[in-house]
Amino acid sequence: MSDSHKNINLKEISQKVYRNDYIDGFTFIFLGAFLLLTAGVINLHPVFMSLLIVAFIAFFQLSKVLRNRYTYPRIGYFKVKTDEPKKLISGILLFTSIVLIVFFLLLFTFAGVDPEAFYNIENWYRFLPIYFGLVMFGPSLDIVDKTGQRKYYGLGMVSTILGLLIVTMNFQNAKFGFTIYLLLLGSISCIIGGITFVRFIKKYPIIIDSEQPEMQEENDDSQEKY
Amino acid sequence: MTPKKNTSSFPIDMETIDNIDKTLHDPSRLKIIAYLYSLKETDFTYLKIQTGFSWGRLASHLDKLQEVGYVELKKELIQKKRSSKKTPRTYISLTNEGRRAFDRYRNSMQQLLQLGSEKSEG
Repeated sequence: MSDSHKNINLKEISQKVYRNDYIDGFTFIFLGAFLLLTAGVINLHPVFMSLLIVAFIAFFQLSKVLRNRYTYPRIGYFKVKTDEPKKLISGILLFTSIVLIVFFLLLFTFAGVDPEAFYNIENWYRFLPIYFGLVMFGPSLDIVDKTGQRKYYGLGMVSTILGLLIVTMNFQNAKFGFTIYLLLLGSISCIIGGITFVRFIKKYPIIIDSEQPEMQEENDDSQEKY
Repeated sequence: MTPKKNTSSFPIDMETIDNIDKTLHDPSRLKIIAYLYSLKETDFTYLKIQTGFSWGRLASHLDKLQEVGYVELKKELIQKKRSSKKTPRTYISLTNEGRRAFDRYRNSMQQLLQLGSEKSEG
């Protein structure tokens, strides 16, 4: 095998492609915004929960607009190949179910929580931050696997540690505790996303119409075709 | 003196070698395909930055890959901000045939390397 073939590391290339998907910080900005919105919505009438679906679609569309405006002019246009929806949904369900079982086992065996306590919705809110934190290890592990960057373990770790802190603070109103958790986690995510975005803008200047054939046709005939 | 062929001492299936995709065996084209494999769609600018190839090199390799039906190029005119003119943009994606060819190529190479290492260990 030639040296040039040896230099092509497929895993590395794939990780580089996925790293670019998080390079602009928008994923974390929108995750944060979604968590902040959830913090507000859970304190309203349950009918407002449908707002979250609308927000999810709106954020998705907005991220497309922002990427067209800020990301693609800097590093070129790209759409990463995503997992099949069926595989993705079954993966999420499996992971959240495993976490739920482990979570209950830990609560009822080691923490000595009375199973009867879970007939009270207040107790669900009380332990929700730590459950949510553990669930966040799912996307965290997935991103680490795809990008090869260990820093994304931070997402699961920060979510879990923060959840643990909120649970141990033992707020009188458990729903208030969960709201605080979402507000804090959402703010942290927005700040990290914002910093990433600013660094991205500074590091990558806009490429000035490098694909316009009429601009360079005298210098490079190959562009004329494209 | 011509070297003797001894297939029993180096059990590489010659058919596997013959069947190696010549289009993909070129390192530059392999690099392009490797990027496209993880992408749904991209454009020239992105591929140029990632591969580090010149426009000419990238265009000629993409031409070859398009000829054999491994990549698909789709042209669109996009409206630029602060400009009345529309600019052409080419979207590049790997075809299903290209994806299958890349999988076949990887399998063939893995098979050959495995046989080679078995021989050297033996």
